[in-house]
Amino acid sequence: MHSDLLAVDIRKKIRGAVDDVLLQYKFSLGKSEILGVQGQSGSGKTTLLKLIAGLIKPDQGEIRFGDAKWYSSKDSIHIHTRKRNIGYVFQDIALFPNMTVKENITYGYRKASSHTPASLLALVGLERLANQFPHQISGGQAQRVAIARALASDPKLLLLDEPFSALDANMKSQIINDLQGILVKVNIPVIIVSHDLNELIHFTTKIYSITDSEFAPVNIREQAKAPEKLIGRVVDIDLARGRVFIFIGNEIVNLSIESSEIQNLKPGDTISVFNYTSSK
Amino acid sequence: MNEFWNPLILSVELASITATLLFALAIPIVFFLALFDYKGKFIIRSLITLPLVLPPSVLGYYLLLAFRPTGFAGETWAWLFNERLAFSFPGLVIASIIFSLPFMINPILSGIESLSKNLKDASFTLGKSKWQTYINVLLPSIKPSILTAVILSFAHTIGEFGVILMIGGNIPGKTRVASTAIYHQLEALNYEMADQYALILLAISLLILGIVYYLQKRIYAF
Repeated sequence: MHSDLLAVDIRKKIRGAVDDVLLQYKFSLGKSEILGVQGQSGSGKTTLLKLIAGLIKPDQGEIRFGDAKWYSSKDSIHIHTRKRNIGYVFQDIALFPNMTVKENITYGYRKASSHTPASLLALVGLERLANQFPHQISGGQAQRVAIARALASDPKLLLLDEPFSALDANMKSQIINDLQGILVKVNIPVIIVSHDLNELIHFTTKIYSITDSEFAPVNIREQAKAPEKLIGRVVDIDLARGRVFIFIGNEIVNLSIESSEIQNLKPGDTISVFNYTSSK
Repeated sequence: MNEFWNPLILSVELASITATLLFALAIPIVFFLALFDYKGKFIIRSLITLPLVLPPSVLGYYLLLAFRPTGFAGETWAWLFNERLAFSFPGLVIASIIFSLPFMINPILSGIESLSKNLKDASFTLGKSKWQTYINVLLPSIKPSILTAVILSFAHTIGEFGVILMIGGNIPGKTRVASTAIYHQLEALNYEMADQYALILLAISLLILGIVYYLQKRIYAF
C-alpha cells in the first residue's frame, strides 16, 4: 500500500547493567505511516530514535531515507543529525530555557517551511503564550511547544519519545486528540515510542514491541470474530464505536463487541476472547 | 596617598584584565572540552585544574623559569616587544591567567555538563552546528555558572599572593598589588598600613561573594 520511505536495518551493542546487549532493528515505513514502538524502560526505544536521528552511531547496517543513505557501515556513511532534517520531541521535552515559546519555535525555523511561526503557534493552540519562558508554562503546554518546535523546520520524519509520559490523565487525552489532528495534517512518516500500548493504538498504523531486546512486529487486526478460546488483556475500549482492543500473544485484536458487554470492561481486564466470538 | 591606593588600583586592574582575557579564552576551551569527544581529554582537564592543587610556590617557580630572559616565554616576549617578561605587569597578567584558569573553566564546564544532553541534541535536530548550539543554547542556559566563573576568577586574582610575589617581585607602582603590599608593610613593621590593606581586601572579598550569591538567586529563574 505504501512505498517505503524510511528503511532501517541496523545493529547496536549497548552496555547493559550486567552484560552487553545487542539491539537489532529492522523495519520500513512509508510516507504518512505512523509506527508505534512499545517496550519497557531501558528496552532500547529511545536508543532506536537516537540511532535514526544520528545522535548515536549504529555499529552495523544501513538507514536509508528515500534515495539518501543516512547511515551505511558498508560505505562508511554517517550523515550528521543536523543534515537529516528530523523533527524530534524528546522525553524530557528539552525546551531551550533561555528562549521564549516563540523563540523556541523559530529557532529551527526554515524560510522555506510550509508553516509560519504564527501558524505553528496556532496549530498547537498557544498563541497567547508566545512571549512566556518554558518555566512559566505547564507540562502540557511545554509538550505542545516541543511538538511545534519539531515541526518548524518542515521535517521529513517526526520522532516522538514518550510524548505523554509527563502528563496527567486529562492532559494526556487532550494532547492525544491534538496530536491526532496534527499528524493528519503533517503527512510525514512518524515514529512514536512509549511503554504503554494504550497510547500507541490511538495513532499508529503499525506497532513493534521490544521484549528482551527482541524487536518484533505486533499485528493489529480488525476482525469481527476472535480466535477461539484465547485469553487476552483489554488495552483500550472505544465506547463510541463499540470496539475493544485486546492484546493476545503478540497481537492486538480490535474486536467489535455488543454495547451491553462493553460497559462491563475496563483496560487491564483479562478476558477469554472466546466469550465474544458471538459478537457482531 | 597615591602610594597607598596604587597597589589597590593595580590589583583591580590586574583582576579585571585577567578575568576579561580569561573569559575570552574560556569560550573556545570549554567548547572543545564540552562538545567534542577525543582521547586524552582527561589530560587537558587535569592540566587546567592543576593550579588549584599545586602549591603556588611550585607554579611560581616553573613560571619564573619560563618567564626569565633565557626561558622560552621570556625570550619570545623579548623578541616580540623588546621587554622582559619576568617582574613586569604583562608577566603578572599571563601568570594570573594561568593560575586562575580552573576558576574560570571549571564552573562553566560543570554548568554545561549539568544541562540535559537533550538540549544539545534538540538543537542539532533543528539543523544547528555545534558552535551555534554552544553560543545560542548552552552558554545562555548557564548564566549563573558564567557569572560565578567570572567573579571567582576576579576574586582569586585579587587574592593571589605566592605566584604574584615570585613573578612580579613586589616592584612599587609596577607589580606591587594589594596582597603583596600587605607583606611589604609587615616587613617594614608598618602595621597600620598593613591593617588598612587587609581590611580593604577583606571587604572586597566579602562584597564579591555577596554579589555572587545574590545574583545567582536572582538569575536562577529557570
